Amino acid sequence: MSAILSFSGVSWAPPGRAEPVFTGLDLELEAGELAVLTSGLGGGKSSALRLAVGLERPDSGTVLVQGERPARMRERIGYVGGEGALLANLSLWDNLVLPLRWLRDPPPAEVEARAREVLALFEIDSLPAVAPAYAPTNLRRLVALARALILGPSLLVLDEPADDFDRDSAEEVWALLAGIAADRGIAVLAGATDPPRRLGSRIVALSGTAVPATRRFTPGQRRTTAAPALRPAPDALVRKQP
Amino acid sequence: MLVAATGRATIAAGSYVLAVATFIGLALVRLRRGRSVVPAVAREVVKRQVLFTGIEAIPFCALIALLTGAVVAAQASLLSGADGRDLLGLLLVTVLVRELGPLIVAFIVIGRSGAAIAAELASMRVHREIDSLEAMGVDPFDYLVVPRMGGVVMALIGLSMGFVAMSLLAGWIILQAVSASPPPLHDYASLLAVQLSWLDVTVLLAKTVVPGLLIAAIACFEGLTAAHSSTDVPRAATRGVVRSLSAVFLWDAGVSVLIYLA
Repeated sequence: MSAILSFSGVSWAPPGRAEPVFTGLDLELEAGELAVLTSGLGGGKSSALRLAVGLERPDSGTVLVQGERPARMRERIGYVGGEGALLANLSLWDNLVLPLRWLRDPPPAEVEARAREVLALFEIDSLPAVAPAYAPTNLRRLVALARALILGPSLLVLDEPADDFDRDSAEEVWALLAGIAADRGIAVLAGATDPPRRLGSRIVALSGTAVPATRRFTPGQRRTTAAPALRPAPDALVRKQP
Repeated sequence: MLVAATGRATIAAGSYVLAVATFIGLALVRLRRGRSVVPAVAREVVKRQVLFTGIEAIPFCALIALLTGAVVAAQASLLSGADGRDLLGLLLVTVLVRELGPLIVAFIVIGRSGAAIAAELASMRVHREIDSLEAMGVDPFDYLVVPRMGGVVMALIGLSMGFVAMSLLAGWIILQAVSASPPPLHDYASLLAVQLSWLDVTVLLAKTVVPGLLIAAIACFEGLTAAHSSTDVPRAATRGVVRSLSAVFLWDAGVSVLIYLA
């Protein structure tokens, strides 16, 4: 089966910085597969995801979506960035249906049916008629996920999709995403600092972190103020979760 | 040192003018080429812009129009004297229709909408909403810039027409109070009509359509080129206002000079 998404020998450095955040990233993702990119803060998860969508360009290597440059395949990619990035001046519903209405402009009944279908995937019956700022963060995240699915993509690219949920709900979100990937034949590439443990999904560790992995900070603990030492970026590691 | 600094500033200003002109040109090309069917969602963005820039600005514009019309008419009445009806009409048409009307409306639109558009788009950049649009396949230029330009131009034309009408009406009202021989409304309308020519209408349009494009383009440009930092949101709004004011002043002055030279 041909890969939906492929990274081949990809390295990337932020603009104006010579030292790459990661180098030699190789990854192939097939339909129905869920892979999780993981790294510490500044390790390049979000950047790798942005490369997969074509919002960044690799310094070397190639990123292809169904054999094409990602920027040419935007209608086939559903993307949810780190903050969900719903538009603040639209209601939750208008955010949900925006790509469908803008790119395909179907009749209103069709828009509604399609929107209800993707909301049902996340067990949402209706949305409050409010702007994102007035909705709970986890609902915002689910709407962003539903929006990413509304055009029927072949690839989902998700940055910290379960970040706004408690541990149990986060596991449910991951299970839902794995189910959607398998049932609909969608390739899912997600970034997570704390990847799911029980899914059997592929974990891709971007270990070439510019900043060491986050240490959990609990109340009462003194936060370290010293700047972490930068380390050179070794090649990205790819391993199967046991 | 001074020469080098002046040179750098000139190059920077030239680059900026070129960038804004390109922005406007691109928007006009996209508008003209259009899509076979403009999506309903694009029309909604235009409607929202007309509502915010035009409809919601009516009360404030009306107040300023009444005050401006009253002041200009009182001064014109003093200058023209009891027998100078033609001069009175000429002064009102020249000052209110050709010069002050479109300029004041442009200032109001810059203060309300130019600043708001620049801040809104800068904030969208900070919150990665622009990236999100791009990643969805929604061209941010088509979705955010083109409808806003259309909306601001439409609103500016409507507000300017309304401003001129309101200020001239306020002029008639004040003449009833200050003039020794106040003209009846139909006489007042005739003395304005005698002075009003197609040139005035052309000037009014030139001073509304182009400033509308300039205000929207500069605001969108400043918003979309803001840094990914919340501290750049107010900076983008300030730059949008200051640069729009300069551009509109320069344009209006240029048009006026051309008209009086011709």
